[in-house]
Amino acid sequence: VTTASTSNRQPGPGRQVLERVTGDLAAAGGVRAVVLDDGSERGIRVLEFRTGGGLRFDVLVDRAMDLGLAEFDDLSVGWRSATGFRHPGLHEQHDEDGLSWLRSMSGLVVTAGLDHILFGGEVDSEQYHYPPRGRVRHGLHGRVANIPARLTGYGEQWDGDRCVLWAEGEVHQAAIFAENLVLHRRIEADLGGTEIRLTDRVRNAGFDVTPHMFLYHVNAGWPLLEEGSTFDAPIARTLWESDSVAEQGVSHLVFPGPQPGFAEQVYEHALTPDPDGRQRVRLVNAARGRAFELDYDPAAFPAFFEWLNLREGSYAVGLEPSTHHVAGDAAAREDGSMIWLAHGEERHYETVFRFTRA
Amino acid sequence: MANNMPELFGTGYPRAGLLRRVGRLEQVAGVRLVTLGDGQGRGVRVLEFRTGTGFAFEVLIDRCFDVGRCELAGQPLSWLSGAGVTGPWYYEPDDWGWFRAWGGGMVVTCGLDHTLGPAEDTAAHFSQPHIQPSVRYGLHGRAGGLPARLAGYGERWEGDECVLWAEGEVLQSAVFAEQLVLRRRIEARVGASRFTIHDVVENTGHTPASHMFLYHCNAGFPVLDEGAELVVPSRRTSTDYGVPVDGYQMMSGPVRGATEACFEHELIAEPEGTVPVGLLNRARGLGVYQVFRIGQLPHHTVWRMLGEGTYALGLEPGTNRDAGRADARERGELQWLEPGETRQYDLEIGALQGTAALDEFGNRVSRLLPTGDTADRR
Repeated sequence: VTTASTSNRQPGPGRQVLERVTGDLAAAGGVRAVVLDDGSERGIRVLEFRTGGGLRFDVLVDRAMDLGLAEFDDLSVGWRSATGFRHPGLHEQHDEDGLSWLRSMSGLVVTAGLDHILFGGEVDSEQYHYPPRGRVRHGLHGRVANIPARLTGYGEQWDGDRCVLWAEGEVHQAAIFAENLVLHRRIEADLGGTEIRLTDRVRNAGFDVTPHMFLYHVNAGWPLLEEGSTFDAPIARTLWESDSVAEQGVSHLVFPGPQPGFAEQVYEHALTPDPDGRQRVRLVNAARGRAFELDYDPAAFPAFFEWLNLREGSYAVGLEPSTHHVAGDAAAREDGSMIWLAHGEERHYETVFRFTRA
Repeated sequence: MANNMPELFGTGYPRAGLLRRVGRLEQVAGVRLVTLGDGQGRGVRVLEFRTGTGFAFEVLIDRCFDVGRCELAGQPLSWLSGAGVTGPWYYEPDDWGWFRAWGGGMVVTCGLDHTLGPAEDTAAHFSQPHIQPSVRYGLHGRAGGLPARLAGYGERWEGDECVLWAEGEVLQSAVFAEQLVLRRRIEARVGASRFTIHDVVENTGHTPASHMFLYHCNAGFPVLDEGAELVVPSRRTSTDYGVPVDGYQMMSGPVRGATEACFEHELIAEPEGTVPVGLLNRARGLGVYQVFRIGQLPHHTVWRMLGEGTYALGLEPGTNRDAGRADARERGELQWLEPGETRQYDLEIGALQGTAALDEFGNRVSRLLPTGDTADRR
């Protein structure tokens, strides 16, 4: 098993050094629990992580513990769509033929799953042995992103002179006569560090064999993304691209500024893993000397999508490691690539989001 | 006004140019209302300001609308005490109880009828001698422990300029005692690494009330560190703490068993009446400054507390000398507000980034000093 987390750890100042100059560790960094208090976000619990190393990010506890705001030094990195972080209680799972997911999508990491990802549709659900619902309808990217987590713990943990900021929670996607899947999530960052470590474990807590699909919609926005920013990835070949690529022809390697009337361009790339077995792709803003790296396990996520949404007012690039190829749910069932989890069976995902200075 | 458009990441952006790049302004800047969710701070409402330059600060609504944490690009400018942000319901206003709920932070308001050391004074002006012939005042008064009414907050575009703002009201009142209201407006501009506070204190009661006021502004690590320099336009600097004034403006690292010391300045204002004071960390290229008006706050004290774990530098413009209430009374400097009477106070706090900005601010102060640079220190 390759672990995501051992490289690139920055040593922080020692514990005693820090405690002499700060009455409260929070002066330098830490994790703080707050509740968003206004608008469509009201009631969402948030853990505010500050590493003291220039990295700040929010864990949206009531939105599957996904990552919202993410800032590095003076730059915003995580994309914020016009929707805001809508409370999951306002989410409409099946409205607009399942595209209602787009009414709640925002932030650095939006998780898709747990039993469905990619476009919606109807598939067989005989495995649940409930004849009145022999088939199940799925919306875009599944349900998980709009399920509140149970926050099982968070805080700052000193281990000698190293301090880890951490949070753990459980996201339970379940229904009677249907799936019963649990996402166990742990998020870590080092005090003084510039990376976020995300460890996910998805377990079938039910007793029927259950399909599992999983994807991270990792979204970078302005000003990390701007005219001249580049996508740096070991692309072996591009397996698929949307029709808009040929029609519009905007480069997927060097990005323009915001475009009027831009239609999303989507690609599935086959990537060459690094020698250590990890997969690393980067968004680089050379002019500002900053980069964002996504470091994941390609054995767990054999597919990868690049999403260009370079339109005015909705200017983002998505990097999407995925358990399944673009053809989606029905195709995976046919070609045998669907993951079927028996009771107690698990899948593990270890991912690092790294922020670097040139 | 094109020349007020937000400058972000080295470029000026008009409103439409900025909003093409972000789905909502808060990707780079904004004001967010949250409630602290854990520990002694649970239930305290906070407004989180981000100006887009990496400058971020928070307004503690339920702690006098004061400014708590303040930082630039993840580097703290403000000192946070070991007490942390504490709900006002745990506040102990008697004697030295203030310390138990003093979380530090960038701006802590002291007042509204008393500042500085604990004291006892007459209550004759309240005309209820059978109940209370005198008033006992705790350290720095009650204001810092009072929750505010949140009158409003948000982001407002004025042409291509975007203003982040918040307004609140803090009421300090008791039956048969003072009835003072602090109305506070805090503003910051998108693209600028500073904020301003405009305060109006009004006696809304029907008896005269004494009035003392002080901003306890607290710098902390890492802008405060060994070698950081305090710059203040002082004609004469003195201390009652029996320590040398010479060299007091150069900061040391944390000192074991350190004892606090206060230094009082005889201020020299700029021609416009403004007084600039800063803490410059040239090794880090980082600084924090305050600007206040000498006509409103004629006195200034620096609180030096460079101890282990309590490592802070307080920059304190105020209405009175550090000697406190009794001294003010003797000198005839204790202020009184008649019913309906108001006082106004303005304070600007900002970050300095890079050698050029630090030098510019250092020069702004040194220009005011008597020739030969060295003011009288004793």
